[in-house]
Amino acid sequence: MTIAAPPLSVGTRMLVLARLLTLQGSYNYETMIGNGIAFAIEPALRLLPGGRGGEAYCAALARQSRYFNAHPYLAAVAVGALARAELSLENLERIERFRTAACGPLGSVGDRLVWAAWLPLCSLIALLTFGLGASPFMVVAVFLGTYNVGHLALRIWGLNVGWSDGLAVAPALSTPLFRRGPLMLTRVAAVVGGVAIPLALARSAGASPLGVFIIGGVGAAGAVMLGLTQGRVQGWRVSLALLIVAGVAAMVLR
Amino acid sequence: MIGPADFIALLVIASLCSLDTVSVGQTMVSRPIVSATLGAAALGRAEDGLVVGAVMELFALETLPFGASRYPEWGAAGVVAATTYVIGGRGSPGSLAFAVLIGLAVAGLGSISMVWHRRRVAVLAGVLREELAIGSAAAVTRLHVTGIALDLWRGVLVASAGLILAFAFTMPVLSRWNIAFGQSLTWPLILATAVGAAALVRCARPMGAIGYLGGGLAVGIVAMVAR
Amino acid sequence: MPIECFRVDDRLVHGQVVVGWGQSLRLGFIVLVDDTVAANDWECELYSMGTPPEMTLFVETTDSVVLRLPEFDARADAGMLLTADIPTMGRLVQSAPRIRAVNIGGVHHRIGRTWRLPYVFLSPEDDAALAAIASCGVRVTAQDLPGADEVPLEALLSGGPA
Repeated sequence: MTIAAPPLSVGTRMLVLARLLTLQGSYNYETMIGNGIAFAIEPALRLLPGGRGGEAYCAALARQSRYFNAHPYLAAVAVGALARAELSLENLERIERFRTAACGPLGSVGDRLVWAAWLPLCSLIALLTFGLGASPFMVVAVFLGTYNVGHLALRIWGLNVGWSDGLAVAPALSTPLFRRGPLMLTRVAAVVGGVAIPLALARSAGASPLGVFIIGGVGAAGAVMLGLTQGRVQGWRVSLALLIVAGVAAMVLR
Repeated sequence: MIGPADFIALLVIASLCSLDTVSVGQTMVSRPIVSATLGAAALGRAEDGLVVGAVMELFALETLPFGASRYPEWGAAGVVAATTYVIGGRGSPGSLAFAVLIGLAVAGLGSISMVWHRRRVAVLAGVLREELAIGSAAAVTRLHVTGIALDLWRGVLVASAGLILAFAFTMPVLSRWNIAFGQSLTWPLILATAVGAAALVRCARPMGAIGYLGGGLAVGIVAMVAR
Repeated sequence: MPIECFRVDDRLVHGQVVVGWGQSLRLGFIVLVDDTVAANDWECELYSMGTPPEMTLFVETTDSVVLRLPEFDARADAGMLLTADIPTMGRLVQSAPRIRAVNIGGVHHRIGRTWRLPYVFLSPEDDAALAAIASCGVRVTAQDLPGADEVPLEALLSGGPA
């Protein structure tokens, strides 16, 4: 039988949020971020009957330290939802199923929105700022400022929506931000990337437009070759190998 | 001349940037455009760091840091690449190429070290398994704090190795560099463009955004020529 | 276009699948085969929220998917079939001889399972189930992402690559 969860004070929320910033501190191949979930949720579990160290507290902490994996920012949704479920004395089987079922979707939504869209967009905005001639401080400030507004907002939203919706949090993931957001952000990133790359190349090389055309043209041919591998070849590894060969040649050839 | 105090400053910056990659914050100070700039700023050459950081950032566009997958670690790599570039000198032939080479190598070393770190934390989780199973808050905290400390130590080791490589090899390599400045400058830029553009296309194509990329490119080319 | 990849992954629909493989194979649909998920509306809803709008998700039971495989294979877009565990994939292989290759994408730690790869932990029962799948002429490999090295079954069964 579930009960109404006690209110979560601002102090407890802040503590959980601060701990969420170290969510992956104990990341490992066995429990993944499971221990991080337990570490983050622990301040909320102190509100369980019996308090800190009580039977309910220990049982809940043990459950939450088991295997879990999701996108680190969206894991805030799980922490909020699981905190509410534990404090409501939710059915244990349902908590276990939620922990199992939430891993994939929270990973998928976060990976699409953050790693595949928001981070590249912010990175390209930084390259554009660089290409436009901004100072080092300005480029770094634009990148970190833009990225972390989204990053922190997502963690705070995740904790709040998880806490307010509990295990019925799925509809919150159907908001346009998550459904259409990656598409929109990718389109903006494509435009920004298109503008940024020639300008960034020009500043890096200090070259004339002709020089940039040559570098960009050969680079584009390389991009096509990498594209043909359908992501099966990692460009940075190939580049490292080619640079080693080129470096040795530069020292040997006269 | 880079002295011991500079070395320590670089080590601290690189280790903290490395820690940001996974364990603490993930605020992206670990991205090369930031870490390289910060590293070079410690040597009073932020502008040089920004240049090498921007080139490395194009490589980093390819990285999707999914869960347990292996991916390059750019935090320490950016600082080491920037240090290499500063030691070599911006006008020196091969300086950018060698800085990027060292940066990519350190990113690869960082990737290997992350696997090592995660396995070590798993071993500790195994040691604490019984305590975790009975809901010991002390065990949860111990595992977590040790994991973070180990990750910081991992960053120190990777950064130390990278910085030692940079200090030991940059001048000997560049003094034997026989390819002209312009030509050696183009290598890392071509490779960075290829990797960055391929990553951008891979993201854009499934979203039907290739046209947007083309439009942006046209604007970028016009802006570049106009400047 | 036939289903391009048959994958065992205990997280089912997640980032490696929809972004990593989704971009590489240009996936248009995902077939999730899991009797427990198929029986729970809220779990189906959760997984559908994790699926990008440009992909279609089909949640099937072990029985229903066998009947629908020809339909999935006849689609114009590329697809991936996911099971959360090795025995479920083993049953599918027995019922659908057209499966020629199985990708082990994520089998995580549990008591009784030992390390083979960062994303693969196997018990003796899992080893036997994989060997049984391979004995049907199916190529079994482990690979979490398209850019990662493909690890053959022999290396997995012998305790993971050196």
